[in-house]
Amino acid sequence: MVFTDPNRLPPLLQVEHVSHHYPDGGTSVSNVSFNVCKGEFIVLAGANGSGKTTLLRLLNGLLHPSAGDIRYRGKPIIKNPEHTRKHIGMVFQDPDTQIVGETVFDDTAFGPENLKLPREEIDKTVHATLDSLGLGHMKDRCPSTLSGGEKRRLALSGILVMHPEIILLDEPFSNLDYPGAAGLLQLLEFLNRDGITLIAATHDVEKIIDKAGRMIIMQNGTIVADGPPSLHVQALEQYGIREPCASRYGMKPADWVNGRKRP
Amino acid sequence: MTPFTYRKGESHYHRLDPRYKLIMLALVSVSVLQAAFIPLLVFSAALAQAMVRVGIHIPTALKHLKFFFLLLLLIFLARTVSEQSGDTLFKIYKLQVTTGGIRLGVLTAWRFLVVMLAGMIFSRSTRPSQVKSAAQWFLKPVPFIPEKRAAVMIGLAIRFLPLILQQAEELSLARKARGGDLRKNPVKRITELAVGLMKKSFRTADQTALAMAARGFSEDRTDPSFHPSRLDAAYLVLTGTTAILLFVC
Repeated sequence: MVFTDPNRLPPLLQVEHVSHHYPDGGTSVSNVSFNVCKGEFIVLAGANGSGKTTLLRLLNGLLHPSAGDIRYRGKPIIKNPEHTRKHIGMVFQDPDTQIVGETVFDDTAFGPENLKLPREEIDKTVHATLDSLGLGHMKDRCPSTLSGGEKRRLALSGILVMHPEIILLDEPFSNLDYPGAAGLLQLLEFLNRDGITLIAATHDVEKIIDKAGRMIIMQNGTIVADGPPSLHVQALEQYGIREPCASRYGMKPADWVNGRKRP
Repeated sequence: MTPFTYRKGESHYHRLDPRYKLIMLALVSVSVLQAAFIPLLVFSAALAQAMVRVGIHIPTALKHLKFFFLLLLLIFLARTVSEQSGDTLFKIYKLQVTTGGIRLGVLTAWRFLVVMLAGMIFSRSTRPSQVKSAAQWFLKPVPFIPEKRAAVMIGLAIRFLPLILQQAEELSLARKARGGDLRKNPVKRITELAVGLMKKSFRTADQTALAMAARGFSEDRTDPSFHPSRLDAAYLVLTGTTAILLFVC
């Protein structure tokens, strides 16, 4: 876990005065600006409808900004969407809609096949990724037979196999039971320690806040707070987000995983 | 998990090239529809052995085919009353049941059952992605058909069918929880379920399209690879010979 001052390192991602309007004229994101540096772990907090998902889709190049500019390593992302999506992966809220392969192996191979990598290289990299996520023994399983936590790991493996620099996670803990959420949290911590930049959009900040080095709070499509989580944690409830239990009792947010009893 | 679901295995059938397997399935299906009693009996015995080898538990498989047996019964009845050769056994109004009719009815139903069981062996021993790859390979020379897009569509259909069935089950239970099963009109019941299911399916399709774009989906993708061996050639020759014998004898 690293807290990085956005002004200290050269930014990986630059978001400058970005707005997004729906075709019916409604605004989902309004004049949003921030930088993301390599190795950051950012919680993008906000209540439902605050614009978190739209912002993630803009960062991945799935949506085009109505105004403003998003640059990855200095280059506008909309001019090179293939390059963007190789380096900025996105895990959707519902893994069932993200998993497109008929088996665990086939789903993980989907991205490298799109990159037109040679078959031998695909086999090698898919096996390595599945093994690293503990999914190697399930490679021939049908995704619909996996548990919620396993599906989420599979969705992540489909992204990791493309060796991204940034991973965007939309509500990563939704529909996960306690072991599933704890396993995912440990995995995210490991990935971040490995140098991958993470941006997790969630309204359930309790699980993740102690891992993150920075928290961006959104409300009505705008950024209302940006900085170290400890600075803004007590202001969460005024934006419709539940304040972590420890913080309510005047303590520092605890490690959500290590607090559990192990069998 | 049904007997039609792929299961990993080490049998010869699992190791065969999917393109060869599809050709063999086509050969068997066509020739079986012409087969007489004795050749069909011999072939059925061989098929039963193949089912055991790919790990299909025959009684369970037959149990899963209970609705198919209803279809076979209809085929049997239709063929029985349409054939008038042989001795008359009994007559119901203008319908005459003869020994020749029963013989033809049994034979026709049996042939369809054999085709179904051959398909079961194929799907049990072939990964869905291999079926997709083989379909892509066969579609490649067909003009005006984008074979890679077709292969992705086949793959998505295989992937999302269980999900759609699951959603239908959830919707049906949600309706029941609100007393929906008290509604007597079956058309209204089906319409309500279908509308809800279509809404959900379209939403899922929309999300999936976005997720595919996020993973850099392109039609110019890595082609599937095949590794045919002598085993494939041997099985093809064996199946071809069997098909000719079933056709001729």
